[in-house]
Amino acid sequence: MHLLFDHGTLVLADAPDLKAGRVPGLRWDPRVALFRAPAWRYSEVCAALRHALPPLRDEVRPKALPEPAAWNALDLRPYQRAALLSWELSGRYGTIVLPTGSGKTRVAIAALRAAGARALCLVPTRALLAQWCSTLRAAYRGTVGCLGDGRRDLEAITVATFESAYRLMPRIGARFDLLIVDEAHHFGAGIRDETLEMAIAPQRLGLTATPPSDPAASRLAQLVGPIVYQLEIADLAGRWLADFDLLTVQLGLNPAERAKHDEDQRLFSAYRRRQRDCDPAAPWQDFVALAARSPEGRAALSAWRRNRQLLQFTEAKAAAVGALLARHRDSKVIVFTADNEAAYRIAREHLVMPITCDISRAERQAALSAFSAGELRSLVSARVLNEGIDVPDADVAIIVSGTQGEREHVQRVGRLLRPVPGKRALIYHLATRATAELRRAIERRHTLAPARTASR
Amino acid sequence: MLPHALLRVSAHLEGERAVPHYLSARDEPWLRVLLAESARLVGQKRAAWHERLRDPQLVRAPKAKLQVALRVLEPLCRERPVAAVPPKEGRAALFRAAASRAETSRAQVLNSVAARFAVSAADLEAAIFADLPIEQRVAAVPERLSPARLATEANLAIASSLVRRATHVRVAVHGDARALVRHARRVGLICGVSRLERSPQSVALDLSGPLALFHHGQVYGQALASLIPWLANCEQFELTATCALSGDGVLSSFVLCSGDPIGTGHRVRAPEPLLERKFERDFPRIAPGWSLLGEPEAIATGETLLFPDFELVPASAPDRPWRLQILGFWTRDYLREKLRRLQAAGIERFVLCIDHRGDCADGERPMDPRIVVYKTRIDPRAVLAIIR
Repeated sequence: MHLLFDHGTLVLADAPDLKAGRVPGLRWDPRVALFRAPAWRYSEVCAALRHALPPLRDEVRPKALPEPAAWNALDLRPYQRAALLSWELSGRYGTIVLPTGSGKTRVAIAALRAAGARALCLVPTRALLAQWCSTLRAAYRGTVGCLGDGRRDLEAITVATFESAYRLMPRIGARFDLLIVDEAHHFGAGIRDETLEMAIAPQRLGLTATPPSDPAASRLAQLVGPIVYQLEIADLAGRWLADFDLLTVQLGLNPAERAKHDEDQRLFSAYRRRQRDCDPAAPWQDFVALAARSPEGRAALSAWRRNRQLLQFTEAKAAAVGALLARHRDSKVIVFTADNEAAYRIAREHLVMPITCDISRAERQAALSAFSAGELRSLVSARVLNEGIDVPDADVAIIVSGTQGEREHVQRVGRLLRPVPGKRALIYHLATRATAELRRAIERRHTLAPARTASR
Repeated sequence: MLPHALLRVSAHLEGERAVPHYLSARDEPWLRVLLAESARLVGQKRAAWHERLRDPQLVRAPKAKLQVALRVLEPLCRERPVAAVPPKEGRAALFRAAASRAETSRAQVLNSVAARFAVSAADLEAAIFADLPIEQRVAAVPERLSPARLATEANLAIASSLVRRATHVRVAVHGDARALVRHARRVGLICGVSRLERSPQSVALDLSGPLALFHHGQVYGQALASLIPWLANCEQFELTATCALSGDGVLSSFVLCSGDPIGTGHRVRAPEPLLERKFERDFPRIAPGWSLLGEPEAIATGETLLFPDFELVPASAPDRPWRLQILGFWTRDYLREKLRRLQAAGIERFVLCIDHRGDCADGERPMDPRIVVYKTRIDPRAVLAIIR
């Protein structure tokens, strides 16, 4: 029997009398008259066929791949050591949950060093690709490969964007023994999960600050490994992360905004109530799917969208941003908005550098360096600074609005928590009174760290 | 690709079959209004274009069809405004100046930086985001874009988006299927080819990706959708795509036939891949006694058909041509099976060119004198040595 890698799957050839049911994941593929299994089940397939007859010839891994070079010594904080140990004890197959700014990349480097295996590190964005490559170059004595942002160098230690890995995994899925997935919460919900399915790597490490909930959590546990270590912001704030105050600033609507809001809210609530009476337990997705099927439902959804748009950047929020920027003109401030449009409005009005997906990576990097050096005092961003990128030290954040829920909120707060002696970060969360936005803001405040919050 | 929400309202289900809402001649009056209004908005911001053209009082069109048409039209008529100052330099100077002079008013900062660039403050303000999408302007509609053409392009977008969500595609082809098969092979699809019983002149292609055996996924969607332009090269076709449209895992079928209004009436000729181009250039130079024909007829090997890339015909014996096929990815078993089929069909004059990186398993390839291994180009001398 020969086990081969074929476009992100495993093909078992010369296995005339095999009962496929004995081997996990293996199925008969009538298209090519061979047995086939998804690549991520490689170790299970090998284990099941270890004593099979005729003996298995494993020809999955290509020959002539370079061995990884040596790694530089690395100091870890106690919780980073504990996280690494948990991962090792879990058979090097698991997810580590640590808050933003706590040094997840450092744990990943320690894992790479401990495993000594050929590894592929997956990152969600091009900005993170550059950041990971540069961090690895400082820790690894060999050449770091890079897939994405116009580069295609494959090395024993390679970093790839999710998008490049998705496209190239049918070719490169058999080349790595360790898969590191940064911001692993992006997987599990079905989108791009094939990237992880098409790799044979038996050792996997997921890194995230905000693990998903079921069913994505179960799928992620299957493809990257279960959560093996978890700490929250509250566990590290004060010592390993900067301490912080989270202030919820309650703002009003002007009469025109209030009239629009209340009218749309009435329209939406009436429809929502009727649907709830029919099916009280229906999740939001089902409600949206149902609403999309009737004119009345579509009108209700449009009203909901209009309201969400309205609350993202009200007149009072615009004024509050101006006042807070003036108040903290000597601090380093990051303003977070829901969309680029609001970010550009703030950028224009208050002459604040925007960091958005429209701005090139080089220019963003230059702006972050200038912010770090104090040449820029404030930045405004919609989503780009939400996760991953190492944001230079900042003292104040103004969260104007968001669209991605609690995960986004936690990530944004984490941006401010880079520890500096004597630092106490200040986070303003702007929310509109007598709206669902305020209720959510209060819920999130309690989720994060009840002891450090206040309301103004 | 159209987003899921728009695609859902651009087709309806009849049983298990997805029926697209194609734009037709009846839609041309409002498409004409759309193009005329777009022409009137030239020079304005894209946001104004969106707002104006979505106005139901202005363009009286079915909402979903209008959205599809706008998605097709938008990338064809947008341009960057001319800026008085290079935007990137303007941003760097302005925002740094604002940070360094926190006590100064906004107007003072703008005036001082504008003076440095020798432009007015208004010009500087207009320039700082001029390179970003929010500032893009409406450009003139391309001349070739008639209402009928726009309808066709919109229909192609609907059909392609449906096929993008396919897990398996079956194409029944009457006529020349060579280009289609070669393209499918190039994009890494598993392509089974068989003759149709009801029509011996027709072939059926079954196309899917390796992982599709286990579950539905969109990883091959792009490759499957890329087949559509190639259908124009077939006299008649019927494509049946098995797609997931509802999001709940239920599969529907979408049928696309020759004659459907998606603009496949024109034969598409994609640029010949570099490897083939190089061989076409190199071979005649060293083999003057041979003629080289591209895309020859398919040949039957048992129940399946084989599509060579070239036919090499010796001037001395034109009735004894050799066929040459180029393979990208391959496995040892795949090669063995191919050689076995060729042998069973009694085809001996056949050369297989295989990529040295293509062996996914890096196993030993079967020892056969008709195999040529290539790296960046196919060595014409190695081919000539075999066929001589």
